[in-house]
Amino acid sequence: IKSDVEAPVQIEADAAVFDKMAGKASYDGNVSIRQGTLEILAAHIEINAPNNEIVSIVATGSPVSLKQKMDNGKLASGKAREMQYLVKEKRLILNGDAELLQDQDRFTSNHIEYLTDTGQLKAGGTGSKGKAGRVSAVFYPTNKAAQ
Amino acid sequence: QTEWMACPVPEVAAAKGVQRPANLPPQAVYIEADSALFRDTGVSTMSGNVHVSQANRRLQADEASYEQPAGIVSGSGNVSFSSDNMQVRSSKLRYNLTQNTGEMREAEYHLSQADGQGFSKRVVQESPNLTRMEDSTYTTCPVEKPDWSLNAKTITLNHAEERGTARNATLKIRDVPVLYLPYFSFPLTDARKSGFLWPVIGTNTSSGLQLSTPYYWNLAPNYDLTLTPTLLSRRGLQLGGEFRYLTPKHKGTASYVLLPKDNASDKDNRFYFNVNNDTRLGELSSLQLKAEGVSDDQYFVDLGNSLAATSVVNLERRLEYRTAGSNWSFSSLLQNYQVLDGGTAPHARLPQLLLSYNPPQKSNGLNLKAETEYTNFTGSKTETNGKRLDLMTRVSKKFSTDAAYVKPSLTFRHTEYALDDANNTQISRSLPTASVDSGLFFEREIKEGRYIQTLEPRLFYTYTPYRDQSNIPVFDSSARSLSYNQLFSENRFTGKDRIADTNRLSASISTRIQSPKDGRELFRASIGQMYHFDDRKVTLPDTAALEGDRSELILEAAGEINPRTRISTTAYWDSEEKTVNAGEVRVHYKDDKKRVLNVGYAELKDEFKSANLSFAVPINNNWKAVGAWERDLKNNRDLETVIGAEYESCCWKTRVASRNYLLTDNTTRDNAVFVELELKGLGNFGSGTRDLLQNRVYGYE
Amino acid sequence: CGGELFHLRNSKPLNDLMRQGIYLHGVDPRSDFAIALREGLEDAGVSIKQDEKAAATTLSIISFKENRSVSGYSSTRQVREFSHSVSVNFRVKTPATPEGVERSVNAERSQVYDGQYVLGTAEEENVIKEELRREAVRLMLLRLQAIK
Repeated sequence: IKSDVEAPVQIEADAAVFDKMAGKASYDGNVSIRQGTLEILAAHIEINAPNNEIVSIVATGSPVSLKQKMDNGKLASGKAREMQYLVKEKRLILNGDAELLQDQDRFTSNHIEYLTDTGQLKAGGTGSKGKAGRVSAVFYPTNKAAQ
Repeated sequence: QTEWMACPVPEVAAAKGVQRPANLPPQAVYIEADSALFRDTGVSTMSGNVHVSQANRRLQADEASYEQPAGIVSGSGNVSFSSDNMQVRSSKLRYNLTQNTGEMREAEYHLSQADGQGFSKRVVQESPNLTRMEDSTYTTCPVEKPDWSLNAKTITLNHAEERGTARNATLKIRDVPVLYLPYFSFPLTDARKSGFLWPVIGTNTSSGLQLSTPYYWNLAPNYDLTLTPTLLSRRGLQLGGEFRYLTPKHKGTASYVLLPKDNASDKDNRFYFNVNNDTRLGELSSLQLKAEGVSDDQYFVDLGNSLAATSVVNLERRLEYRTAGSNWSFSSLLQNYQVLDGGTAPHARLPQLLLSYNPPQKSNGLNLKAETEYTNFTGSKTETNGKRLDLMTRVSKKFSTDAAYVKPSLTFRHTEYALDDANNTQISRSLPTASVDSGLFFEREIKEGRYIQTLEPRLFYTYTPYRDQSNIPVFDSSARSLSYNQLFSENRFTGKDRIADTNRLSASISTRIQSPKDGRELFRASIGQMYHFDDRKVTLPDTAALEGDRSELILEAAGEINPRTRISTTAYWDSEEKTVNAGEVRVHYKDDKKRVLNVGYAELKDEFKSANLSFAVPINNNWKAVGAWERDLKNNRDLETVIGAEYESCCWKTRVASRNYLLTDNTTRDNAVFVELELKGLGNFGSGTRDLLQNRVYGYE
Repeated sequence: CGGELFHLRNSKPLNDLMRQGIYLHGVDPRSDFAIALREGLEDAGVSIKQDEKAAATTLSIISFKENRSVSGYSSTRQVREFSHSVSVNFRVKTPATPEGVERSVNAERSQVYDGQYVLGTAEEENVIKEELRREAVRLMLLRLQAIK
């Protein structure tokens, strides 16, 4: 939800390595990032923040899982083998058996790109690994129509 | 109800590879594609072998879009869409999954219920149960090159009422326009539906061109009405109606056919009626009504169209009440006949009351049987009418073991007549009859026990004294046809007005070959003769007494040469004159490939000598030939020849039958040709010609 | 035909399964054929059961057809002979053959028609039909005896 962006970020991990010069931080061993309602759990996370401004976060795990409350109060969650979050474009990219749940609607594919601001979700196509997997999605029209 | 060969299911109906996950609830919209762009509100787009499904509706397309929250899906690029009642392949589709409405362009569709398919410029699903198709074709034949198709401006399919209606449609046979129909409605399932049955077109010499278009009214699950207007070019319009009903207590049919104005004869209002009703009254009693009648005795000659139809000798009208207890039964009957073949009109029975007492036959015990019959024979203009009371008691005892039996029996009959003639004559007659029936059963195994052959000698003696019965009018008696059973019957007349004086010994020997494995009687042959010790003085009016001390030699044989072929023969050989007085041979062949062949020869000395043949042979899995032929050998002429052919494919069927037969005036011949066409799915069930062929070829279904 | 000599017939009872009980199905118990069939079965020592479960064997009549057709015409094309026929298709279900065995029997007889005595000929027709029904029952009993 919108208010998450202002909330403080807590990161926990077994080990962490900071490289001030390159502006990189990488955390290892059941890493968790929490910011407001957002929570990401992964095996390994790398934050790329040149001159101290986060540009991208890359998390890998088997799988990486993500949970966040959406503006309409419903819960969203997702999992994939690798998640990249590009802050400027507000684009979340999930790769490898990716699955994203918005309340009951469920999207699975090899490669999913989700624009957090417009809510637009792009899936399938040649994923970063080049393997053209199938996209599947399940919509529950009743809850949508009920709004 | 005609069953059809199955048509190959068009590939449009075949389900594509994608499987919808089983655990999804029906209202969930499942989407699968190579790639997709989803927006939670607004239009998501998918491409690459896209599958969209909800409940029982499925869409496959190259490109598709799905609009939230309205639930509108659209597809393009070899789109295939299937729902409960139809499968469609088209180039463009728009469908509202929530309201179940939509539209498809340049569609090839298949209706699963009616097994019909075709092409349509535009298929519009107006509501969940109403589909409208514009500029479309409809056929139940394979859609590539259909033998027939209905091309219509609009076809609307009402899936709830299971009925399709076509507006300004032309029926094409192999794309030759054959018939233009402004409006045509047809059933979508083979459930009994009101509607036009298939017309029967034909011609025959006496009535000219005939076109009958029956209409079937499915009034209720247990009664229906069929109205059949028939146009006879030489006679006029004939209206027919048949009402059928079935309730727990009543069952029956009533049919009435009327030809108000017959242009080919001076008779008007020519009708035929046939009423048949069975009513159950409680557990034991029943009421049966069977009545047929025609306006004039030339009715069948002019309006019948076969040898059998023009050979109706008389029409019975009977109303019978029956009831029965454990060892008694009672029936009261009202009956008369309409005679058509110029024979003498018989008396009417108004009423006949029959009370009979017959306890269950104990196999070796004393058997008693008694009957009382009162009949009022009236209505005859040429013969004497009168009332008759007949009392009969019969006692018999059977001494039998497995291999032998002796059965003496004693019968007393007393009959009283009260005639309505000038001086109300009263006649009474009482007669005893004594008989002894005896027989032995021998058997042996033949062909190493595969068959059992029996040898059954039988001796039957019966004695009835002579009573002069020449003053008794003949109400219900006639001479019995000579037959093997005649050897062992006590009276050579039927009915009760002539009790024959008999002092006769009948001897016969029969042999049977039975197969114990399946219990079939492969062969039965009998030879028997009667030896008379007195002349037979009781006769029917103006026939002479019978002399001669022995009857013809009676030979009879029947059997199954193999499970498919049955043969039966009888012959009556007059040993003095060394001639066959009567005889017949019949062969029936029927195999599991539905091939039927019947051949018969029958002869009655100085009366007739006739041969007949009938067959039904499937030529291939589409064509079947049917034929019948009746030959009068005595006068060297064909009485009737029937040749018919039946073509059947998976979506249409036609029967053609031509019949040539000799009319009752014994000189002119009638030539009748009947054609019947049935397009599967466009009419109800077959009519007419099937019955025409069926009763002519014994064993042809 | 040589072979074994004839001897007096030994008894040929229906197998005891059938004697215990047969349930008749598919025929109106009041019809003439049903009466002839019941008498034929009872004469062979069979007890007819009213309900299917009480009977080991079920005899269901698939079709019973009585047919009369003209088989002889005089020189003046008057009907002179009728041919009567009866054909019965039936299925016997026993514990040994639960899905049932289908059989059919046929009998036919001709009758001279005399237009002068319509009632008399009708009486004979009833007698012939009754004889054909009894003949069909006799042939059915033969088939039943063969079913184990």
